[in-house]
Amino acid sequence: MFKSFLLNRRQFLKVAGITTGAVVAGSGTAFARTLPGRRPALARTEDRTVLVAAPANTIHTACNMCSNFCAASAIRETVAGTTVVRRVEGRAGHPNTRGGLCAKGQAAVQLLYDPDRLKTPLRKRADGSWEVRTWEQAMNDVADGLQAIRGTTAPSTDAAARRAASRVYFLNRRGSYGGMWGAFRAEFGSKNVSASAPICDAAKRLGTWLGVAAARRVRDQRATNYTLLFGRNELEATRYRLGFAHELLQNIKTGGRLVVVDPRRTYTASKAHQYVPVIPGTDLMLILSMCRVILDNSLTADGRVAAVISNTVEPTAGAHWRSDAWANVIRLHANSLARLAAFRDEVFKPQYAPAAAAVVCGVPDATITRLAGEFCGVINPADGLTRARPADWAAVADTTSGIAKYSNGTMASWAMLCLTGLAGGMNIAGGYVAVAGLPASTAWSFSSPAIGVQAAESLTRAAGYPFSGNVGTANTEGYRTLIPYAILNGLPRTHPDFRRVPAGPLAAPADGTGVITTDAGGVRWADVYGGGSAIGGGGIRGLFINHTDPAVADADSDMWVRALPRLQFAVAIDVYLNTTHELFPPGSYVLPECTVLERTDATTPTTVSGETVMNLWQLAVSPLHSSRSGYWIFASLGAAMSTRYGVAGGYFATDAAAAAYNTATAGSGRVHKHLPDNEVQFTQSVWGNTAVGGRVWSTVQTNGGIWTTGEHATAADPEVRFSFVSTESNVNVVEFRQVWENTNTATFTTPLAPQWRAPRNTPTATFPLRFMAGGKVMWHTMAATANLPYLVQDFNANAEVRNTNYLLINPTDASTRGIASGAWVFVASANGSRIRVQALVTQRIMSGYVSLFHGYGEQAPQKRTAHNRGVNPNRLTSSRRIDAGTGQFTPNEEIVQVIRA
Amino acid sequence: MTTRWMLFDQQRCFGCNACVVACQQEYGLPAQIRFNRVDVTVSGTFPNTAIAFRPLLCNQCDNAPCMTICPVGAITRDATSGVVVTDRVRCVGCRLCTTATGCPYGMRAMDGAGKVVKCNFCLDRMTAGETAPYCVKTCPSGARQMIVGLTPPTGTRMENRGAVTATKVVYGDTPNQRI
Ligand code: SF4
Ligand code: SF4
Ligand code: SF4
Ligand code: SF4
Repeated sequence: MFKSFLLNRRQFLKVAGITTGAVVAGSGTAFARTLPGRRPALARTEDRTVLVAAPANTIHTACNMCSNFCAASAIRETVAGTTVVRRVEGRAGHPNTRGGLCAKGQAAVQLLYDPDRLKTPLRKRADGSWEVRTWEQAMNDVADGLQAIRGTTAPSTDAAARRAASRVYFLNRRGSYGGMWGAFRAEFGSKNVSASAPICDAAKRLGTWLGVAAARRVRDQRATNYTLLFGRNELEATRYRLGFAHELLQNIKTGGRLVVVDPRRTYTASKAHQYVPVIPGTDLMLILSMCRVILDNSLTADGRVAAVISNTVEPTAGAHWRSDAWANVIRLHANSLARLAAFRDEVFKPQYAPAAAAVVCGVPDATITRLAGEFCGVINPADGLTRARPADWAAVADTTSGIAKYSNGTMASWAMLCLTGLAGGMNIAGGYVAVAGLPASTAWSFSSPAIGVQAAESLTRAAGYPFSGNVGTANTEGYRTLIPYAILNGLPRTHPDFRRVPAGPLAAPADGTGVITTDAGGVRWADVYGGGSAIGGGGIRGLFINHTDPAVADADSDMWVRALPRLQFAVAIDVYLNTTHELFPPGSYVLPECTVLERTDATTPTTVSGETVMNLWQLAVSPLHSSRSGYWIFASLGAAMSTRYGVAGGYFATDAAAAAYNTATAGSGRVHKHLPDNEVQFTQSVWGNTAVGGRVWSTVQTNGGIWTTGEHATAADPEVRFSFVSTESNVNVVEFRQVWENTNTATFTTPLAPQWRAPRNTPTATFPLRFMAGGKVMWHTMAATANLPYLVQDFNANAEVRNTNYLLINPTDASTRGIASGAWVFVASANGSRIRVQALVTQRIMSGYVSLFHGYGEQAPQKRTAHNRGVNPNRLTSSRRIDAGTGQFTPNEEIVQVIRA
Repeated sequence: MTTRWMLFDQQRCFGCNACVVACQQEYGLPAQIRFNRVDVTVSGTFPNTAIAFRPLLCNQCDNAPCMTICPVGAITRDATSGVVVTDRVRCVGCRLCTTATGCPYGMRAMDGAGKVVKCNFCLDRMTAGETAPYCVKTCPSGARQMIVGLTPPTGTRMENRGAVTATKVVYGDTPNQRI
C-alpha cells in the first residue's frame, strides 16, 4: 500500500537523464520541476574505464568535504545502466566519527553531480571568457607557461634558476595532495609554498610545540572531569575529528563539566555548565592568572610543584613522578628546577594577580580564582565549596584557532597547555594524550626530502617573517598573505597599485612603518630576495593554486583583486571555476579535478585525529565529464614538464618512473609509489591497520586511552613530554624565541616562559568594534561548499548561519547605531574597504564585538548557487595583522565601524 | 499497535542539520522541502543567552488531523508500524492536509508532481533491509534513535504540543550510545 518514494526517484532519474529540465507529468517525476539540472550528469566526454566492477553497491571510502576525513561509505545504484552514487553514510563505530557524518559529508553527492562543476580544462581568453581545451593541450600549455617564468632548464640546485623558479608561488589547500604537490614544486625549483596553516592555526601548532615538543596533541574526552574550552566552538566547527562532538556531549551527560570561554555565546557554549565571556584577545591573561592562583595556593595535588618552585625539593633528573595523584604530568628534565622557577617568576608578576588580570580580560577576579580551583578539582562547582581533589581527576583546557588568531596567539596556545599541565591533565586518561602517526616508511608518502631546505629561502624568509618549518601540513609553509604584495611589487614604482612587501617581525624596520626600507625608493621584493636587477623587478609572477580561493579566503581580498590580473601566468586545479580564477590573466588555465567520490588515491593519514587511523579514498564512480584525479593531473603535468623541459617530474606516471625516482632519492627514507587513480576498491576501509603501523581502537582502549606512536613518543618512553619553559631546539622554537626577543625587548626574560602580551590592535575611536571574520558552522565551510543548495538552505530563522551571511551584532551596539535586525549596514575597516551587509541583532554576541561568517561573497558567475550570495568578510581584514610567533594571519584582531546603510 | 517511534535526546542535539540533509539526499528532495527540521530557539540576555535545539518531523499522530481532513481517504495508518502514510495514487493534490488545520506542525509538502509528501519513518527503506532511517544513521551525536517493537513511554516525557499530542515522537534524556 505504500508508494515507494525510492522507486519514484529512480524513475525520475531515468527520465531526467534524457529530458533536460522538463516538467514531465505523472507520479514518477516527483521533483522534475524543482530540480532543473540537479541530476546526475551521466555522459562523459572522455573514454575512461572503471577498472574494477565492484559487485556490491557499497564502496568504503572517506569524506573530503573538510579535513576531518571521516570514514564514509558511498551507496551506489544503477540508473539506466549507469552506476551512480545515491548517498553517503558514516561508518558505524569508527573511532574518528563515532559513526555519524555531518551535513557537508551528506552533500558530497550533490557536489559530485553539481552541474556547475568544471568539466574540461579551460584557458582564459583575452576577453575574459574561457575556452575549452583538451588535456594534452592543457598540459603542454601549462608546462610552457610555468617554464616561461622559470626561464631556464638548469637543475634546481642552481641558485639563479631557483630564484627564477621561485617567481611561481605554490598555494595549496590544507595539504591536499601535499606530497605530490611538494615534490612537483621541489622539482620545479620554487621555494615559495603555502597551505592553510598561515591563515588558520600555525600559532596553535607552534604553541603546542613549545609545550609538548610536537605540533599536535589531542585530548581524550571520554574520561574528562572538567573541560575548559577557550575559543573552541566544537559543536559548530568540529575540527580534527567529527567524533569530538559525540564524545563531548556524551561526556556532559555522564557527569563531565564543560566551561566555555568565548566572546560569542556559541552553540558549544549553549551546552556548557558555565559560559565565561572574555574580552577578545585576552584569554592569555586569564590563563596565566589561573596558573598563578594554582601555584600561589598549591592547588596541585600534593603541593609538589609548589615545593619544587620554592626550592625545597630537588627533583631527580629525568624522573617521572608516577606516584603522585597527578602522575605522569611532567617529565622532569635536568634543569627542571630552573625552568619551573622561571615559569613561577613570570606568573608571580603583579600583572597576573587576579584583581589586576580581571581588569585586562574582563573576567571578575573571584571567577578567575574559582575557575582555577574548579579546574584543579579542589573546588566543587556544584556548591562552590572546597574539597579534596577527587581521585583520577582529569581536567583539560583546549582551543581550536579561536585564541590563536590574535597577535599573542602562540603565547596563548602555549600557556593553555601549561595550565593543563599544572592541573595534572597531561598524559592521563581524560587529559592530553600523544598523537598517533603513521611511520615515515609508509608507502604512501611522496614528499621530497629537499623541500624544507629549499623553502627556507622563500619570500617569507626574505621579508623577515618566521617560517613555519614544522608547524605546517605536509609542506613547509610560507606566509601566504604576502602574495598580493609580491605580485604588485612588480609594477613600476610610480604605479598607484605598486606595493612593497611589508617586513615581518624578524626585521627591524628603520622607519617604524613596518616596511623594509633599506633603499630610498623602497626595496622591492626581488631585491630583498637577492635577485636584484639580474632577474628584473617584482616578485611573484606565476601562481599555481590547488583548490583554494584566496580572493575570497585570504585577507585583504580587494588587494588580491588588484594583484591577480597582474600575474604573467596562473594555473589552478579545482572542482569549480571560482572568484580567483576569474581574476587570472589571459592564457591562464583551470584544470578540472574530480571529486573525492571519483578517485582512489593515497589519502593523508588522519594523524591529527589522536588515533592511528588511515582511510582510503576510493572510487565510487569513474570521473564525470573530463575531470581527472589530482594524482593523475600532477603525474601528467610532471610528465609534460619532463618531456618538454627535462625537468624531473614524470616520476609518478608509471611504476618504472617511480622506481627510477626512488633510486635517485635513495636514502631519503621515503618510498614513492605509482598509484593508478582507478586502483582496486577495497572491500573495507583501512583503519587501525596494523600492516601500516596502525593500532586498532580496541587496543587503544585496552591501553587506557593513551595512544603512543608518532614523532615524539616511543614504546620505551610513552609519556607526553611537557615543559613550562621551552628548551627545544626545533627550528620553529628557536625562531620563535628570536622573534620574541626582537619584538618584545622591553619585557623579554630568559629563559623563555609564556608571558602576557596585549593584542597589538585594539578598538579605536574611528573603529570602535572588534570584528571576527570567519567561523564555521557544521553545515557550511567556506568556498568549497558554497555552491551546494543543501548547505546554503535556510534551515531555521534562528540558525547561526542562514542562506546568506549576516553581521552578528549585540542589541546594545545595534541600538546606539539605530540598527534593527535585518537592516542593511555598512561595515568599514582600517584597510580602507567597506562592505554592505544585513545585520542580525542577537544576544549571542558580546557588546563591542561583531562577527561575519566567511564562505560567502563568491563572484564567479559559473557557481550559480554561490554567486553573489552574501558578502566576503575578508574584504575587511588586513594581512598586516599577524601573530608575532608564526606570522600567522590574525583576523580576529580586526577592528571596524558599523553604520546604518 | 504502534511499533515504530523515534526517540530524541535534546541534550545531545546540537543543531548540526546533518539529519536534514541526509533525508533530503536520500529522497532527492529540493533544498526547500524538509521532511525533518531542527528548530533553534534563542532566549535570554547576553551572557545568559540560552539556545535550544529541537528536531521536528512528522509525529505520526495518534489522532492525525491530516487523516481526517483528506477528502479522498488517501492518508491512512499502517497497521503494523503505526506510521501515517499517504497513498500517492489516491492523493489528488488538493493541499488541504498541508494547511495549518491539516497538519499543525507543517510537516507536509507538495512534490514536483503535485502529490503530498512527508516523513514516513523511512518505512519502505526499512523493509528493504536498512537498519535505521538515514537521519538516525548520520546523526553525529547519537541524538536520535528509531525504536521498533517497544511501547513508547507515556506520562511526563510525552510532549504535548498544542491541540494534538505527539505520541510517537518523544523527547527524552535517555542516553543513546552509538558505540
Ligand atoms: S566532518 Fe563532515 S565534512 Fe568533515 S570529513 Fe566529516 S563528514 Fe566530511
Ligand atoms: S504531524 Fe502532521 S502529517 Fe504527521 S501525522 Fe500529524 S498531522 Fe499528519
Ligand atoms: S525517518 Fe526517514 S523520512 Fe523521516 S526524517 Fe528521518 S530520514 Fe527523513
Ligand atoms: S543530526 Fe542529530 S545532532 Fe544534528 S541536528 Fe539532527 S538530531 Fe540534532
